[in-house]
Amino acid sequence: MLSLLRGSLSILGFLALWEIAARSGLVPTDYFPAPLLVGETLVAEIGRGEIVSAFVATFLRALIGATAASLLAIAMALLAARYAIVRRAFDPIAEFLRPLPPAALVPLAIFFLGLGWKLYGFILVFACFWPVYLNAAQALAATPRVQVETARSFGYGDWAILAHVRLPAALPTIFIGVRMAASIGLIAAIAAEMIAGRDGLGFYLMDAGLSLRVPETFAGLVAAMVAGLLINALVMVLRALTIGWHVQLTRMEAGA
Amino acid sequence: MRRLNVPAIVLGLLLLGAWELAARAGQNSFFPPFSTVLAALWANGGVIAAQIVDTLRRAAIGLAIAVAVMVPFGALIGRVRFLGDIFEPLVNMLRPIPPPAVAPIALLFAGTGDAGKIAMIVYTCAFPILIGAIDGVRANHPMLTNVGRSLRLSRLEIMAFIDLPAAMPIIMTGIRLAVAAALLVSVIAEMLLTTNGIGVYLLRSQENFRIADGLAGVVAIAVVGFLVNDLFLRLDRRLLAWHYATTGGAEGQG
Repeated sequence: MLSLLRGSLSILGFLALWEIAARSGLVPTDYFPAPLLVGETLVAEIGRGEIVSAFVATFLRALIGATAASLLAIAMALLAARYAIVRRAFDPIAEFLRPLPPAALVPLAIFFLGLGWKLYGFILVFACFWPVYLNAAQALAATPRVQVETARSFGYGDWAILAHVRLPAALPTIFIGVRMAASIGLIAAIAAEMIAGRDGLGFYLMDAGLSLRVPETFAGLVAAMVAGLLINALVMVLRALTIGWHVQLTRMEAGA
Repeated sequence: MRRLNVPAIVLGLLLLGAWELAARAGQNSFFPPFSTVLAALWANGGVIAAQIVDTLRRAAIGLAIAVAVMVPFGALIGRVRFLGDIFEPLVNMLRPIPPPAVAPIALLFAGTGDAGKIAMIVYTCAFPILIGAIDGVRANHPMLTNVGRSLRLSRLEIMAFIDLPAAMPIIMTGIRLAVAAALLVSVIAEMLLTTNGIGVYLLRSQENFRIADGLAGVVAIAVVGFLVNDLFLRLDRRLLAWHYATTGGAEGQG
C-alpha cells in the first residue's frame, strides 16, 4: 500500500516536472506536448472513437495470437518432453528460427496471407511461440528425479507422469515464457500494423506521427502503454488462478 | 567434440525438401522453391551482406550505449534506496510501452537517419539491462560487502570489485535479452524509418515482387541472428565461467 502511494507520488512528480518544463518553454512543445494537453487529446480521441477501435483491434490480435502460440508451444514442448528424439530434432531448428525478427517476415507474408487476420495470426504465432516453447521444454526436462520416480512407483505411466507431475512442476517456468509471449505479442502486433499499415494502434501511431499530429501520437503511446499493462495483468491473473499454490509457497518461504 | 545431431539434420532436410516440392508443384511465382532462394542468396550475397552490416552496426551502437548508461544507472538505483523510490515507479510505468510504438516519436526528435533508429534501439535495450542491473545488485549477499569492508576497501572499490562482478550473471542475462531485442528493433526501425539496412532491402524486394530475393534476405537474417546470439552465449560462458563452475552450468533461456 505504502509502496503504491510512493509509486504514484513519483509518477505524479515526474508528470508535474514535465508539465512545468513544457509551459516554461524549456522543451519544444511542438515535439514534446505537456501531459495535460496529451490527456485532453486522449479524452477527445476516445470521444471520436478511432483510437478505441484501434486499441481493441491491436489488443485482441496480441491476446489471441499469444494464447494460440502458447497452447501450440506447450503442446510441442510436451511432445518434446515425452519423446527425446522430438526435442533433439526440433531444438536446433528452434534456436535458428527464434532470433528471426517477426517484422522481417511481414513484407513477404503479405503476398501469401493478405492483409487480414491470416497475416496477424502467422506473425503473432511465430513471434510468441519461441519463449513459451523454450521455457516449457527446459522446465519439463528439469523435473526432479525423485518426483518422477515416486509417481512411477505408484504405477503411473509415462503420459500420466507428464500430465500429473512434470507439467504442474513446470508451470511456474512456463508462465515466465507466457509473460514474455504476451509482451512480444503486443510488440509484434504493433510492428506488423505499422508495416502493413491499415488499422490498429500501430497504424494509428504511424499515421499521427507522420502527419505531425504530435499530441495524438503521444495519446497513442499512452494507449499502447495501457495495452501493455493490461495484457501483463491478464497473464498475472491467469497465473494466480492456475498456479496460486506455487506463488503462495514461494511467498511463504521468502516471508517466513 | 560435439556429436552430430542426426534427427535435427533429418528434420531440417525434410522441411526444406517439403518446401522445395510444394513450391515446384504449386508453380506459384509468389512461392519460390528453396533452391531458387539459395540461388538468390548467392546472387545478392554482396548487397545483403552490406545491408546487414548497416543493421548490425546500429544494433551494436544502440546496445553499447544502453549497456554503458543502464548498468551503472541500474546499480545506483538498486543500491541507493532513495533513488530507487524515485525512479523505479517510472521504469515500471514506461516498461510496458511496446518499443515499436516509440518509432513516431523517435522520428520527430531524431529524424530518419541513424540517430532515430539508434534511439529506438537504446530505448528497447534499456529495460532488460536496467532491470537486470537493479535485480543483480540487490541479489548480492550482504556477506560479500562485509568481506570487502574487513579488507578495508573503499565504497567505490567495493562497488567496482565486489558488487559488479557478483551481479554479473543477472546483468548478463539482461544483456542477452537486449541483444536479441536490439537486432529485432534494428530491423523494425529500418522498415519504419526507411533509409538503408536489411529491413529496407526486404521492403524493396516486396515492392518489386522479388520474392526469392526477399526470402534470401530473411534466411540471411536468421543466420546472422543465430550467430550473434551464439556469440553472446559463448561470451557469457567465458566471462562467467567462475559462476557456472559453482552453480553447475545453469542454462538461461531468453
